Amino acid sequence: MKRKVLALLLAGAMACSVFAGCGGEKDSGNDSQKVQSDDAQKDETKDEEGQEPSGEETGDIVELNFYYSNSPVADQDRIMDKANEIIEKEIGVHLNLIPVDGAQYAEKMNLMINTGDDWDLCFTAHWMDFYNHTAKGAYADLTDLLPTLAPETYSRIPEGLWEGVKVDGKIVAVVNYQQWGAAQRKGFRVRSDIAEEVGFDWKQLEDKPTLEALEILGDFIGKALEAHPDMIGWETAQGGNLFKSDCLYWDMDAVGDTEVPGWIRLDDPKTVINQFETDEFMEFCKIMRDWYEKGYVRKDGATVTDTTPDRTAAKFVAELCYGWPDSIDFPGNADVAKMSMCTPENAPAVAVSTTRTIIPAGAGANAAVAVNANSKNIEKAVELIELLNTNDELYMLITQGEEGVDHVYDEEGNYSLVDGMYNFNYNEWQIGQSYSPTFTRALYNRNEAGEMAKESQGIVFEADKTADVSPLSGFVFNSEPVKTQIANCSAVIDEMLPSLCSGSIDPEENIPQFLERLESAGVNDIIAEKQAQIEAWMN
Amino acid sequence: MKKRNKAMRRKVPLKRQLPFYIMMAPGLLLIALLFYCPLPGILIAFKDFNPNDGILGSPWMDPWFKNFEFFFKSDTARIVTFNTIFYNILEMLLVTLGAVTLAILLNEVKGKVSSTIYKGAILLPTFLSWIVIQYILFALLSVDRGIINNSFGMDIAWYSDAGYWRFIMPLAYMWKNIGYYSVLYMAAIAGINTDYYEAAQLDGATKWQQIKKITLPLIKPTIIVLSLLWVGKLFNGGLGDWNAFFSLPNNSGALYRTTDVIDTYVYRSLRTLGDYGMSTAAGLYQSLMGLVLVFGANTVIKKVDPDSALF
Repeated sequence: MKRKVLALLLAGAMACSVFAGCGGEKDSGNDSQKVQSDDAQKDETKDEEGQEPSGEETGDIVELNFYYSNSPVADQDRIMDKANEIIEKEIGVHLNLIPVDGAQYAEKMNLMINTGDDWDLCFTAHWMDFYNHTAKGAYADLTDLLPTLAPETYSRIPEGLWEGVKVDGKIVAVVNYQQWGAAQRKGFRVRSDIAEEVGFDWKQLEDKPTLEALEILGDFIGKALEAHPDMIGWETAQGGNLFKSDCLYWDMDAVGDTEVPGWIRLDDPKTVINQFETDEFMEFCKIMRDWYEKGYVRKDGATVTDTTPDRTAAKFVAELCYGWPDSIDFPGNADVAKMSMCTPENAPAVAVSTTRTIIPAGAGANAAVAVNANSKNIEKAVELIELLNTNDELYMLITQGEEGVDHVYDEEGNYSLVDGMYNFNYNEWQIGQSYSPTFTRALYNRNEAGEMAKESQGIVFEADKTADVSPLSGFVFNSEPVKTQIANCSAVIDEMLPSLCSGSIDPEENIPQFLERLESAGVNDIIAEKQAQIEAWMN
Repeated sequence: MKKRNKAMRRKVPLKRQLPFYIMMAPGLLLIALLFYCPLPGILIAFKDFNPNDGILGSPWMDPWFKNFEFFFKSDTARIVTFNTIFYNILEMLLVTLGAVTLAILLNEVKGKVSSTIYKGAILLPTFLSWIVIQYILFALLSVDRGIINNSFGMDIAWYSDAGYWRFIMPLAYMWKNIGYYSVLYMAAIAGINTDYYEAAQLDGATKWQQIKKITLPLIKPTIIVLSLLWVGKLFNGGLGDWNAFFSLPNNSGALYRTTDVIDTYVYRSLRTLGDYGMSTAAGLYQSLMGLVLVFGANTVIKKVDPDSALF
């Protein structure tokens, strides 16, 4: 009897869950949509109290949900009300710009895409599952829509960049072309005041290979720390290191995601190599080990996840610098004249470029906006992209707030953001192009410094047209055949790479072990697969 | 004895049992919803799942075990399985031993105020989340600023040497859970009829003898039931206590050898991949291991004390 009841219960439970299982996602889709539009309706009625006559909320206005990564934005409703006034007038769209906290964004989008959730546009990037999601067919094909519905957006962006967001010849995302251009040239930044104090000639770093540059920096850091024992020589952290994502420092480029084994040398783009087998990796780890033992880096570098406190406290003597033109080519470039997250007052710095100038393979997908392939309003979404990219007033309103309220200019023409007011947390690059041929889509100081900033950006735009383009541009690695191996290799890499690159363990002893474990995790399959795909793509 | 019990049970009419069934209903419903409804999802482990086609619509994997390959091809499969079982058993033994001892000792504390203070102090860590404990531990063990290294003048890289964590993990686990379990055991001890002790005292039994001959035998069923409930807890996916293994090592890769359990390993390697098939496969394997463990424990107990076995 008891058993029967149990069996019945079980069977019932299973049956109901089967239905829930397959019908669920459509239902939930509708549900969330309903909730969304309910919300939106509430919003709208709220909006329209002081504006247009209400009663039109179900009219022709189309709701679009745009997800992007941002910390909570203060006063968002005020700005979005104003922005939607413009958008509704121009293209009849009501935009819900939905910020998701940076730490959760990738996961959240992953989940929304996997569950077929309701979204129309989203920010995407190659460092945020872009290839993964395109492989799943999550993003709409925009190849034909862009030239007709977003002609201005389409034509402003250098040809080469579109290659980066193409998959199988189809454009699946819109490049957010930025005020700082796409060409990369990386280098190092050192504290100028300390360099002067200990007599370090930072200009000697120019164009040096990374290993040599690090050796030179090591001497400088040693002297600097003698004079300032409470400082830290170099940043080490669990999440980032020169062998995780900075291929350019090694004159290499990644095939597919940067963290997966299998890079190429820019001079020999046809051969896929395991970047951890290179001499450079061994030498780099030895240098970091040396620095660790000398106390140049934090002892717990392998486990530090957040270096913001160290950065804002101006603790670092030297660091990587992604910005350019550097202090040699363009001495006035204010962007590189301070250490990361510091001010020119507490941490003045000089930058020097060491790598070549290149548009990396991923540059197109470095920051892009994609449209949901299942969205009911793909065309409206593309129109919205065009509007965000061409209506400077709208873009500036959303990204910088209102002049005189959220940002102000002082009598010298320097702008500053007003504390506690609307603040986009510098995430304007996620929702559209901040590039403008006439420099009207970002805040510039209205004085000489502002003009200089424009001039330095002009240099980059010029370079974008002439720089080397990565030999891998337009190639998309399909990781499906080796995803098992990738998952296993990632586990090994997560385990050992932070320790190796922060100097916490001895490279001579541990790198061979690391390589051995990678091998048993299937790294050779990944390399072979990448090699095969590249060869097929080149021919 | 057992037979008679069963016979007696049958005689109680359903009508009189009804209130009890009703009391049980919410719990049963919860179990049905949370544990039985998702069961068909196991199919995903054998499918090339994509959400647009749904569970039933997605194509089968070819070969059917392809989703399992990820886990079994890795060199870590054995390590994490061992770790899971090792910690599960070790912590069960340690916590039970510690909690019973504590409960007996606390029971002997007669002062009302002091007893309350002790109980409160022991119970407190139970209410801390593992994340908080992670930071307490970090404050203790940090290499350059840690309390332990600084007060003893040591320079041990706690977070880079996996060996220490075979001890640190169980210790931390005990510290958090011992209070909770000792409260349960104290309740069991409080239920013992004081006549036994009075009689024993009249016969001149020492405290130790009273504990050994009266307290322990009488709370044995409680110990067995609690231990049985414990078994498989670490295999209980997101509902188990895997959080400890995820947060305490502070994400230090060097410690994974001794701190990774199946859950944490799967979570870390598949979270970013977003592959439902492989995650489900690993989860299924984990559940099977849990099942084996529960059956194993039950068999052992059946041999030792048939009355206390679960089934």
